[in-house]
Amino acid sequence: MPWGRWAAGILVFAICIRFLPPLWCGRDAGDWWRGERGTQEALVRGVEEWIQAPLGTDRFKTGSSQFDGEWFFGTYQMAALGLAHFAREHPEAREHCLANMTLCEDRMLSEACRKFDRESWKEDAIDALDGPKPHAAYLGYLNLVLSLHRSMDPAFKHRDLNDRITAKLARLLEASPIAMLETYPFETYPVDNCAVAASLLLHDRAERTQRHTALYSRWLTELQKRYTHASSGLLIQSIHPVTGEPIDQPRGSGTLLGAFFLGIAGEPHSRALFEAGRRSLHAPFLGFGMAREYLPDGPQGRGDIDSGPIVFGRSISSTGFLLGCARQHGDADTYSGIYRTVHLFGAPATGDGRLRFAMGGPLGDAMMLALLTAQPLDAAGNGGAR
Amino acid sequence: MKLPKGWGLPARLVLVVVLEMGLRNYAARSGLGATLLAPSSQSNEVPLFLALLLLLVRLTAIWIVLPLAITWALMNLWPRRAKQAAPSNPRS
Repeated sequence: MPWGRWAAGILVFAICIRFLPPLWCGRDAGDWWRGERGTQEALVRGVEEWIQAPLGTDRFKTGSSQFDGEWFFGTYQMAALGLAHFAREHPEAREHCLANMTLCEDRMLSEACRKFDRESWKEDAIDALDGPKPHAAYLGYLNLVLSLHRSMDPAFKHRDLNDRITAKLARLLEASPIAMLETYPFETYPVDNCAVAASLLLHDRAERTQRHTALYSRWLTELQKRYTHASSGLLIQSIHPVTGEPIDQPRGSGTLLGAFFLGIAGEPHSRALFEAGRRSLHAPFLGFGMAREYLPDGPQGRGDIDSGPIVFGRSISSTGFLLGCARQHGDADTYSGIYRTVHLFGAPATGDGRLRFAMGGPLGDAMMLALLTAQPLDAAGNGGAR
Repeated sequence: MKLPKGWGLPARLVLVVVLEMGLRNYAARSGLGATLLAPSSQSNEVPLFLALLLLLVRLTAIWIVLPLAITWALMNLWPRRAKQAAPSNPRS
């Protein structure tokens, strides 16, 4: 073979190595961005199979029974959010999705799902709705789904429960000297309070009232003033439950999940958090979008259950939540870049008309559904409807 | 089975792709790949090994096999330029 032919071969190979992987991994990004029904529906079917199956906490292997319980609960929460997004994008599938959202809510209310929160607080969140313990993560995440469902469905089944949880969260938030509720005893996370605040806003929208507007404004002022890192605009991950002093770094997973929750409620502050995350943490590599967990010029941590594994500073959670925020805020380039990474490491597999991510499992698939189908905020901020 | 000359490389590439597809479908159906999401995973070692193997094979398939297959196809299946025959002398 002549040397010119070898040189041409090496050149072609080098060009292919540089440009082919992102092209290959991003070939479906346009369909996801445009919200093609067939593409989204395959993942909906995959997630529905998870939620209809008799899952248990033994399905999750985090090494901690509390985190296994959180992932079990989170699977149904994210599945319900994804189904709500799909129903908004494709109104013809609304009834089917609302029925499956109800199934998710029933699962979230089951004894098995409440166990992780009950063991931490030594009381049951639903049985103690008149009590003083806030259960911010369990009640906040649950109430976000209930309020969102209520805003879409006049025949919503859990109306009374949604009212009682909303009343409790609003009462405790009003009374909190630091404007934040505890997730577990002596553990307070601003991101979980974003879910609480978003659930109050969605409840107002569903009821066409402004009952919580003043409370939300005060909470948002405190969030911006006390729990937002001044120079980067990122949320502090964890704060002292009594003084409100930061006890962790400003981080990507908390900031972008908080932005995602507020975006579901159509709240404009979501954009400020998204832009702060994109500006400070977005670190694409060779056409693959990724996000850091920690500020590049700040102290670096080893990550935890919130961030997932951190590789070269990039975290799975930050990257995934940035994907959802990018669709909420109309950033097609960021969305496409991160979709390539999701495709590469998530390894989607289709069979029997269902799409699943090989690296996802129940929680990963449910999160991908919620994030890939996240709904853009419209100008009126009416819950992110298109 | 003996492959025709020059087809050994594409046959190996196909094997990697088949392995990747098989592992990916198995992992998707069983949900074992999720073990990689938990940094402190104490799950048994077989799912973790299979998930890491899938990751390795997948990266190989996308970064090595795909570019190599295209390069091989361009160099071997692209019609080679036929040697031009010497022009005949119209005066002769």
